Amino acid sequence: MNELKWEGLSVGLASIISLIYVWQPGPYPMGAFTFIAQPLFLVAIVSYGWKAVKELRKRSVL
Amino acid sequence: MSWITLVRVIGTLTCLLTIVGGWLIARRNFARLSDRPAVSLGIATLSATAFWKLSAFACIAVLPAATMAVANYHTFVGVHEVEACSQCHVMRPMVNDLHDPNSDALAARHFKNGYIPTGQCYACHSDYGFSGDMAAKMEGFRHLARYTTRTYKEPLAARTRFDNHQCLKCHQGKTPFESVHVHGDVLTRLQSSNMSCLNCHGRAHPTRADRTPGSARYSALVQAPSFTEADHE
Repeated sequence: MNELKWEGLSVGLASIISLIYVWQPGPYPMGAFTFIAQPLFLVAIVSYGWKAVKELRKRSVL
Repeated sequence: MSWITLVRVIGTLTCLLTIVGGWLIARRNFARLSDRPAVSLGIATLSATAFWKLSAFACIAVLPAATMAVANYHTFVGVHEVEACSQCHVMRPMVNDLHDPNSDALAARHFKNGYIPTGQCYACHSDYGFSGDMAAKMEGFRHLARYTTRTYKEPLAARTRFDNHQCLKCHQGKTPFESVHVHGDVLTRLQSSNMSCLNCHGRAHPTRADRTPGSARYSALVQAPSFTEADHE
């Protein structure tokens, strides 16, 4: 697990969208949260999980 | 403290932590952490590698999950409020007509007589929100996608037949309903939604002609409504 650059930036961007939605829950922030922020969060979580599992297998932990 | 305030406080906290943490983690090269000094947390001292890997777990897995859970309050619970519906301008004709004391539409009659104390839209369209089934949720996402990409045409037309159980859940079994003998005659058809309650009880909302851009009532119907959620309680 050397780099988590895209995962970090993805969750950061998704959190900015989420912050706007939390304070202004109109249709456009809801659309951005539903169709952009949540997929970004999920992609980042899956990518992070994949890298973590790969490293644990490499170190024979799993 | 109200739920909405709690959502905003927790949501802001998790979002800000994730933004800062995500930025710091994106800049970190985990391969070069082994020669960095250990990090003291007061109750424990961790190697720099362990500290940043735990931070990455918190900022990329735990905090985003918490943020999604908190922000989805608006998606599944906040949408029960009339104010939430009126934020999409295509819904304003229904909401404005609901508040019109001179309207004889079914929804307006329910509102002015105080039949539904809170969440008037959701009371009759309760197939959305957290308790709705998957089909209703997919339909909601379709509505959201069509609205935000502006790929819709006014006046809106319902794709599906209105489920009469939304009416029967309140009216069936009550004396005013049961005392009308014709209800007994058509109950089976009402229960299966093969016959609409509106056949006898009039339209629920403004007509499609009124909701068509350019119609005489259109500009009045799409005005931004001036009410607070307290007006619906």
